[in-house]
Amino acid sequence: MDFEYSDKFENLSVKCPPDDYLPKNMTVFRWVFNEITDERNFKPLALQNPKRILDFDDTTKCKSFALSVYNSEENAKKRFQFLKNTMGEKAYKTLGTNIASLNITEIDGVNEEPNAQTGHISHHLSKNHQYEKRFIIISTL
Amino acid sequence: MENLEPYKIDKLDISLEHKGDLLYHEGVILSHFVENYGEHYFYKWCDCDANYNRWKIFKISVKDLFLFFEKEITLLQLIQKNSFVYFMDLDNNLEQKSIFICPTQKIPKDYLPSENSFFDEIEYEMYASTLKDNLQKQANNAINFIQSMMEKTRNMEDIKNDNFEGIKNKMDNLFKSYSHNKEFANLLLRK
Repeated sequence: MDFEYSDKFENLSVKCPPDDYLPKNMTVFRWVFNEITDERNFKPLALQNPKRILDFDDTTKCKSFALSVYNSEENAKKRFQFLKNTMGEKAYKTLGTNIASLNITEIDGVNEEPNAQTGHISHHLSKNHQYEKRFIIISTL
Repeated sequence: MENLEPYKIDKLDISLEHKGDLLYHEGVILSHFVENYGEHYFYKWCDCDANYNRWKIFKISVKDLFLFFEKEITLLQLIQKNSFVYFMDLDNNLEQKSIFICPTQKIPKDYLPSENSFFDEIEYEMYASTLKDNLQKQANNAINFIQSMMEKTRNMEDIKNDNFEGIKNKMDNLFKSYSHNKEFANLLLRK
């Protein structure tokens, strides 16, 4: 599979994406900002400036090229609410303001197994995903 | 970002080592650091602009860290136990742009967690559970050490008593053995 940022993570000392990340057909939910075309919505941490990091080993670097999605709208909201309790109102400034959804397919990338308790999934996206045109905002956070 | 200029200082007078991230979502939200002398500190993400992330840095006692992990106190209370906190603006290369020392009562409201900011093992990173377990192990080791010292002290007293008994028995035997020569026995006892 051709990954969107493979040229940036191919020299890492860890296998990236990890071998247990698999292509899947499923509906995913992601935090986004008000406008779906906002450039921050589908830009992974690795490409953000400034990055919200304090250390950067190769495992973290690999993860920083993935997008966070959830396996249900409820899980996406629940996780945001928890982080908002920790971060305060500034959570909206860095994490997002809305939930968007998409039925991703096996050609869209590879995914880690959903976290059994939070439903979180790290998603390494393939080239030509055009998520800004395909994700649809369904609710507010 | 909020104006913290009145609290600006030249440099941070503590040296901190990054130990692990406690909360993470497409970047760090809460991280654990340790100072040279083993003091615990948290870095909590607070704000950002086009060039810098702003981190709040605050100290935590081991006891309060325990209470936090036991869900007895919140992250907000951990912060409020300090009379002051630091803020640090870091760029993309983790270079410091500004450092502030701010009285806890003057922390902007938007920079504080909610009153429900309890620890949750499910939501925190694996490192949090590791840290919690390590603290528990250290506490258990300390308790075991104290108990072992108490036991040793008790044993020493037993030994003293045993020795006393032993000496007393030996003396009795000597008296019996040398009852015909009490002068010898008395001499032995004096030695």
